[in-house]
Amino acid sequence: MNKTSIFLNGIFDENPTFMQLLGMCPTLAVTTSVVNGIGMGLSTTAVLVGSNLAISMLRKFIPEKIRIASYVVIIAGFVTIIDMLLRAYIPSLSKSLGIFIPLIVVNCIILARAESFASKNKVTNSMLDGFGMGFGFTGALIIFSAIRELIGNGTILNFHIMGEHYQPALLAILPPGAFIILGLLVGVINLIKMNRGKNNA
Amino acid sequence: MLRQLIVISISAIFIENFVLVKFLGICPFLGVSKKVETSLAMGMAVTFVMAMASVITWIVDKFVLKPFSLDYLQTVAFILVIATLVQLVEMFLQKVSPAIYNALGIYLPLITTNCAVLGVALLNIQKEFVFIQSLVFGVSAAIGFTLAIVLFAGVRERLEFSDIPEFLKGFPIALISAGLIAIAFLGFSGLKI
Amino acid sequence: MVIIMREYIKLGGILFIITFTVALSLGVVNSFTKGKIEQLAQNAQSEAGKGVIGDTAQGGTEVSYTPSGNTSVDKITEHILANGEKAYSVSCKPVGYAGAISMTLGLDSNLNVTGVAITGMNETPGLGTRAKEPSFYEQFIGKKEGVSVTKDTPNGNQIQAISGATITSKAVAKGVNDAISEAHAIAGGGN
Repeated sequence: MNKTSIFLNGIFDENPTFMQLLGMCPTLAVTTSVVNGIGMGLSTTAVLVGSNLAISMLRKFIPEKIRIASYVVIIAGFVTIIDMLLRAYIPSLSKSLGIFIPLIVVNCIILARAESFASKNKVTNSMLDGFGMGFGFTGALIIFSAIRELIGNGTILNFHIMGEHYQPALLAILPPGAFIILGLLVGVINLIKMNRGKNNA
Repeated sequence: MLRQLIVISISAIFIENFVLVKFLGICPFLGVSKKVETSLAMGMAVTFVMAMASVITWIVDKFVLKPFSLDYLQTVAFILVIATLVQLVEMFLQKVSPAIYNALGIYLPLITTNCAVLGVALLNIQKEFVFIQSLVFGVSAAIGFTLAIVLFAGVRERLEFSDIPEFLKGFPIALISAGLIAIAFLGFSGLKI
Repeated sequence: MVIIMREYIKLGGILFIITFTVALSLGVVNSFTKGKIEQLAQNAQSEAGKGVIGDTAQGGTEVSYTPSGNTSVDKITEHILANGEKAYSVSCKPVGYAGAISMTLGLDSNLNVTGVAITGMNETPGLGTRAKEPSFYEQFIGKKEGVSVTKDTPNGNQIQAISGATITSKAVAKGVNDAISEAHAIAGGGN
């Protein structure tokens, strides 16, 4: 596998949100605005690249029996660094994302990539995979939060897109809206997948 | 004091249900809820882990992290505690009830990455609870999780017999159903206790 | 038996080394960011204090204060304005929909509200978070003790709730009322 295909894999074929259905908690929770979506996506990408890098470097030294515990500690380390940096330099984002920043450590995407890729591949490839998966996740968050913010608040990135008389459908930015919109979105993607299958047949 | 504990408990189970309102514990919620029995087993395993995690992380924070100004090590310390706890539960279940162990499968070690467990540990500290409040909050949050997952499993078992369009089968219809249950739970937000 | 023990010790040892290295690195990063984070917190507090009293404040002395009963107030600071009158800034944490709402209030010598600043909250985005908009919190300016919340057009000592966020609105009102009543006790029976 060449370098570009590793990177693009995370964005399209094995997109963590739409294809692998991982990382649901933050996807549903923080996508009430596009700003939050981008912030969470990039923070997760930073942790993903860092942890893939570290775990790939140490892959020959970590015994199999304690590998999950070791991965989790390393991931927690990177998450804490991002948490501290955000609280010091982007406090508004830190406040909006709240508890979901430390919760990045239990984002299934990161552990899954550590286990299935970084522990078995070289450092540069692992970092590329980290970037690919991270950007794929960020892209999914941006799409999802754009839909929610547009329907639920009439804005995107705080710019009013819908006209003045648009009554926002608040449900979109409340918890039930998240579930329903994500369900419909995955349904649409399934539809696309099915049609692609039919065309190839 | 007792009244406050009851308020904490009811809030955690209904008004701020961990799964349907706070979005913690979604992965197992969607993954294990195909049958009511497995959901119940998962709920009980999670309740045990969340109760123990609440207690132990609270103690670690109070007697190790805070006195030495090591607050920034909270995430690392807590996740280590949780990973160890889950490992112990796994070993315990394997010996005592292999049936449940096999039914839960890969979702048992995945309790480590269950946002609800780490979430409740962090929330206990954020809300500045005392020991008994943390324990009550941990257990109640887990009860709320179990409630949501069992309710959902009941719905999904019925959905098996319904005529659903192909592209909505599986994940999409599950999410939409969860959304509808979440709307019902939204009704609790007006509860005055 | 010995072999198993040795394996456990080796495993535990490696995990310990990894954890220790991580902890050390975090300690380093912490020493860089700690100062900035603390300063941000302090700035937020003093900005809130200044905003609610008005720029004529000449610093203030924190009044030694013990909360009585079920109040949401945690700190009261007495200020002397440029014209010699007293003013108070009160910080309180009423419980809203999703936890405590941190707010600071400014009161003049007659214990009327001169300013409200909401410094922290976890309320629902798009609903409760609209309490941070001036169109909501400025309703409290000029009000006296016993503010009540209504869904219709407010009159007298009432304010209008945010549509869809009654609980948050009532929490902020409670904060205001608690602040005035506790300041009452400190000011020694005010007017």
